[in-house]
Amino acid sequence: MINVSELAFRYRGHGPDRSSTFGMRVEDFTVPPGASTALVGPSGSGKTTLLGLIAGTLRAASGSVIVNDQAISNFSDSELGRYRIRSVGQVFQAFELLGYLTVTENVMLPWYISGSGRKADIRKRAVDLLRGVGLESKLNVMPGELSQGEQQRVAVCRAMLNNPPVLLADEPTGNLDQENKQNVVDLLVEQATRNNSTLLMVTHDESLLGKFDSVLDMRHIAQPLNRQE
Amino acid sequence: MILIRTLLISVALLSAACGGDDRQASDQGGSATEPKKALVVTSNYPLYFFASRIAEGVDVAPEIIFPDIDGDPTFWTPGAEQIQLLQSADIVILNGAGAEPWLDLITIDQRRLLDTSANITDRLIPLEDTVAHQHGPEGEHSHQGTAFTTWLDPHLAIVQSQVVTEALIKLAPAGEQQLRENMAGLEQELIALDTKFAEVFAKLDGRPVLFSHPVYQYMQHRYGINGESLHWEPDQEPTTSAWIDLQQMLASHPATIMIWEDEPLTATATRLSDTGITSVSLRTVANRPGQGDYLSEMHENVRRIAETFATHGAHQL
Amino acid sequence: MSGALFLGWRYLAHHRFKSGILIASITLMLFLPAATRLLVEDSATALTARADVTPLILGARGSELELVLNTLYFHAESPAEIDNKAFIEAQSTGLANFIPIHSRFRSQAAPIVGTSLDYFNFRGLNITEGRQMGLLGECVIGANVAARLGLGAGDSIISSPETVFDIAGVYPLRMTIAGVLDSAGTADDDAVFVDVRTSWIIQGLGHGHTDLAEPEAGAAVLSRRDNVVTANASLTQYAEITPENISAFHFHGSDETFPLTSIIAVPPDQKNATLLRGRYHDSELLQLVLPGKVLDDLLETVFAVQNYVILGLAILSLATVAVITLVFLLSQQLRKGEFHTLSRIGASRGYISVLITSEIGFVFLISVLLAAGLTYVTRYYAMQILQSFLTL
Repeated sequence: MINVSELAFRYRGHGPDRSSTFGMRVEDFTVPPGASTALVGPSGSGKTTLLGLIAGTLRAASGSVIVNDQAISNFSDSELGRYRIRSVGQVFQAFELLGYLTVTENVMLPWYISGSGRKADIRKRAVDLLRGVGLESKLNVMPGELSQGEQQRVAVCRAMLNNPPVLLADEPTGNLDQENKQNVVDLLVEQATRNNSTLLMVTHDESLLGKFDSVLDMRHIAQPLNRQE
Repeated sequence: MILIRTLLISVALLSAACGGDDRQASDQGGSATEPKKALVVTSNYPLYFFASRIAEGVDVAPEIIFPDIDGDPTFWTPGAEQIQLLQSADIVILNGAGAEPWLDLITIDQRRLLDTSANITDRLIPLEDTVAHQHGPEGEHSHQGTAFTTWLDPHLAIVQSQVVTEALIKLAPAGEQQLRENMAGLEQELIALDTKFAEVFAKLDGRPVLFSHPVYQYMQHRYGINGESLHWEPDQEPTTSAWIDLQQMLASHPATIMIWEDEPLTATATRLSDTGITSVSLRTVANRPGQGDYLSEMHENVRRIAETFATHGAHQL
Repeated sequence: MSGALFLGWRYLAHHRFKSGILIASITLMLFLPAATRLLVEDSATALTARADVTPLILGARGSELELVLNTLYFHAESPAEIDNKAFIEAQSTGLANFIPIHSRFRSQAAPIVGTSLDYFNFRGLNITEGRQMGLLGECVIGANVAARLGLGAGDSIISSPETVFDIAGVYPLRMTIAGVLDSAGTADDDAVFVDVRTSWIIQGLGHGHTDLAEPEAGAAVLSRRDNVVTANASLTQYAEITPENISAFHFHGSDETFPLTSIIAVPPDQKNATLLRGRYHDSELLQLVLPGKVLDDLLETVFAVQNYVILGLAILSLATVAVITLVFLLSQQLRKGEFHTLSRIGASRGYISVLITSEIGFVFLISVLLAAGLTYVTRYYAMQILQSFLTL
């Protein structure tokens, strides 16, 4: 479950006057556990920022973000890192696989970061995930040899490696063709459902909205923050 | 942290590689020699006999060896093992006077060579009628030089034996007295031999004799023998031209005795006898005799000569 | 953090070309000065060691360095020759043990050194296979010659003509290998040793042929006059000394005039050494040198050059370090996205630091190991490398 309350975020501008800041305020909302929610809104409305606040890669100026009863707003940097490894699976628009690791090793990347668990067990989990998405013949292939759809499927597997309770996807279909878009979204929803993970996915594609339990519109939950606030 | 640790390990490795030299250059000259009984090798049998006689009964005397040689030691080419024996000897006793042409053919420490004729070069007899060859203007070269059978003159043999004695004393100084005593005894024996030869050859009284080979120069010189040399081998029949040369020689040198290195073929002796020449052998004893030793062989030589002269009768000589 | 090391290693392995160039550059940067210093110091030690145990060298007036290098290392450049008479006269002084050296000819790359048995005792050389040379025409070979040419006792080796067109001069002599010397770690390992008279035969001062005094000499005889036989050029001379033909070998002329390239003098004490040096001090034709001093002078120059070389390498290294630093910085820039991804997935700053450092660390570690390995190999072969230069 994701719970956002009185959240405000400020980030430094890049104009000539570096002292100016702007931000956004997010109204309280809750994403129930196991639910698949699409996050929509115009460009610049703060979708990625909101995901960052939930993932803990960005810090709120005020308010709270509670994920599965963890108030991550109060976490230190190292706690946030551990939180993301264990509790958050992330899928990015640009796939962001490491080109010098094999497909299996890319899926195991969270383990290479945390070192938690037996390698053999993690490898088996990774192989099972890849088999589940039809990539059993590509286990030792380098990402550069995969199609975009295949790469994104690997990224999904990576996100699911530790069975995270929260799955955050930031326009994962942005670089895919129509068929792959459908496939990837279906995959994400399916994984979330299977693992009872809370899925929050940013998308611009209205044709995909029907696959989600609910839709959160940034226009309804976020406002720009005034300079004075 | 890891970087620092890595660098520290690397520096340590490089230092070890560039560190002290654990490989020493082994250029130490010389090697320690363990004490061992001295070894003396002689180049012919007479020298072996003299050295053995001098060292007889002297416990500290070195081991004396005369290698097994087939035929005349002067024409010996040492084999590999024999060369190793020579190289390992403390002293190699040489006759000198050109008796060891094989010395030019082998590798040996020159300092270990003892030339027993080195002090009597003025008494060495040069060879005549040698054949020299040359290649273009380089100059003449002769394969022969001086007569080398010095041991056939007992007085020269005494001089050589004295040189041997001094060498043995250097190798075994503790035995000096006994070595000198033995030398004195040998000297007496050689003098006695010399007296006998002198008596026998005195009977010739200047009358001509023939020698089968030019190997008796020192005897000839010592006892005033009027002799001419042929080049006849005892075990080979002389050729027709050889008989012709003999006849030509007899014309100016009417010898009735021919002294051979060894018993000639019966046919040769018979034909010589028909010509009026009696054959008698006077062995040079350059190599080990089948029986007896140098002195016994030389005395046997004396006996044969004396017997031949007696058989011939004075008027036939 | 082992995961960070793994990622770092995989990154390097994936970018082989870049990694290879970096490793090669750093390896060279570390190895070259070390090897220079190693070669110079090791060679100085070895040169000095061999020179110090060689008390005195007598040779023709001229270049002392050439004389010493040829005597100690059988350098291809032979000094002017001296007569064997000098050796005979030196021996007669009784002031030292004199060892003749004739180092002029070669058997392919191996120098043929004519000398006496004393040389082996002097250098502490032992026979490990076969026996010491006995007959003329036999030789003993150094351990490296045996290994390189696959030769052993009983095989043969042929002397090389001095020049390709040496038709009328020195021609090849086949020599039987009597024995192989034990490895000494010196120039002796690369030499072929013969009796000095064998080297004179190679030079043509001695030879063997059919006996011209015999009628069978036939067409080889130009004339017979009195007791002198003159041979013509058709006379076939033996190209090999065998036990069967050895007695036919002889020299023409007095051996006093036969050549040597040098004489090693080993006096028993300092007094004799001084007397010897005094004896040859004013000689117009001969010089008696102290090998150690001659090489010390050479090494002074070598060390000076070494310092310049290392300085040059140090400057080059600075430039290399600057370029390598730039490469690493650019690499980090290029990998910013990757680090961002890792951070987003959950990697800490420390983890990222280790990842960055591992790239540098692995490159340096491999370079250092390679440099150390190359340095070790260079040290192992240092003497052979040096000796191959010295015998050139």
